[in-house]
Amino acid sequence: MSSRGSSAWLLQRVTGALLFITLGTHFYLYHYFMGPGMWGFDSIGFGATDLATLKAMMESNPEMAKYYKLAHLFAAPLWKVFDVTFISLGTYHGFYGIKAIIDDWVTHDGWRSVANWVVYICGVVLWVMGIVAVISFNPELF
Amino acid sequence: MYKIKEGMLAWILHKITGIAIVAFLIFHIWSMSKMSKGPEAFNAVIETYKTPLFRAGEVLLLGGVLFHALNGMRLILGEFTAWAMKQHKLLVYLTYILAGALFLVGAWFMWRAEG
Amino acid sequence: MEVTVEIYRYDPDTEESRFDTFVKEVDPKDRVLDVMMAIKDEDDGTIAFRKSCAHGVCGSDAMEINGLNRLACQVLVQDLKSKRIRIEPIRGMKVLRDLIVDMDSFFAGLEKVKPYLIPAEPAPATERLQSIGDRAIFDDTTKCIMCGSCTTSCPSFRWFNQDFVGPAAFVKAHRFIFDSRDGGNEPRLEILDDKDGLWRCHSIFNCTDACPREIHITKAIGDLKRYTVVHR
Repeated sequence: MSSRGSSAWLLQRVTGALLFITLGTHFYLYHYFMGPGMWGFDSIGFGATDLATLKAMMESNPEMAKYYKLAHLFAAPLWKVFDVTFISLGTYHGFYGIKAIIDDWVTHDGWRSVANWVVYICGVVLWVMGIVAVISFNPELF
Repeated sequence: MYKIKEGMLAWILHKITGIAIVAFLIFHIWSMSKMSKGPEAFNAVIETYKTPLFRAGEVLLLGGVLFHALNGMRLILGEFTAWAMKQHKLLVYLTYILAGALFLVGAWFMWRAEG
Repeated sequence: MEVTVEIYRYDPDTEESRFDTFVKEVDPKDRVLDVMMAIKDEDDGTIAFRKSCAHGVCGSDAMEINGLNRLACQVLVQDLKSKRIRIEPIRGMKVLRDLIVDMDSFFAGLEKVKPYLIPAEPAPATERLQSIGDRAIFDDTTKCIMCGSCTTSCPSFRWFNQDFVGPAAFVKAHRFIFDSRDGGNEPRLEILDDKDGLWRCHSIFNCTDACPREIHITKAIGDLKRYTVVHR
């Protein structure tokens, strides 16, 4: 009988608040840091490749500069941890939000659980896709 | 037709922006998993990101995210403090103003930065 | 002043609905209920609506007036700031005739939360004492007159599904859960934490805006949410 909505409610608020911070960082990183200016670059210097090599690579091959820059960032262990956290928070919050909308709109119990399962499965598949993409990203493979 | 008051409009917008953000999240993770397949794939995806249509969509998304985030903060504030409950109409307007202002700054900045 | 009054009509025999329009000369300080009584007396005696005390205490004349739920006996014509008055039944429940709705699903929601004192201790020889501070905690939610304005203004109830316990029942639950003399929270929390309970409230504030007794319903629901999270 009890569906224990209380913990889900709390978790939706906690993930929402955390997303406020992580999504802000994410936005800054990819729209500001990734922009044409180089500044801000040294402040996030815990990459896998050392900075001097990276700068030389970017200068010798400007076509690929953006890729090197992002690869450097993606490969850094701290940012991998950040991205895994971010993707987990984002998929959970987003797909639970869709489930909440379904709970409102779909009143028939059978259809409601069918729709909820579709949402759960889509969420997990997307979460795995995101995690795999982040973890497997290794610029030295190429 | 029941009148749409402050809280109701904010709720409708919260749901619409939420669905839009999830739609983008699906697209984003899908395209990201293509990007991680190597430099060529990466640059190909980046090229599609540079098209005007995509960039306009991104700016719209910024607006949606800003509203959803700030409105979410308003809801959390309301559910945890009596003050925010009593001032709910003021806070709804404040959410629109703050989201609107940040959107204008952010949109200008995004458009410029990625030229 | 002259106003145009549109009243929702529903005939259960033919199952047809329509709006009837009346043009009336009224005093701006008349209440909407006065206007309706004048129409019933002078123009069309077949209009059916509930009214009892006519002074905002019994809560029987809740209706949707110009798009908002309110008591017809409380709202003055001048407060509507409009020369058109559109009167509809409160929505989300079955209309029985004209402005009269079947309140069963509304009272079912109220009954679910056990809106009566379940004593924590056996009856003492004298009264069950309560401090002024303890009484003040649930003072706001004692004011409910069960008119149904809040529950039928809530999209979670009127748009989606009438199994939703609804704001009025949450107000009742608040009134007893936060009463220091009461000890019956377990079965109430069971209902509040259920799928049609508290979590389908999205803090839309329609209930708070509609309440003729100015109970801060959304705040009461917020209190219940936090209480449920801690105590479940």
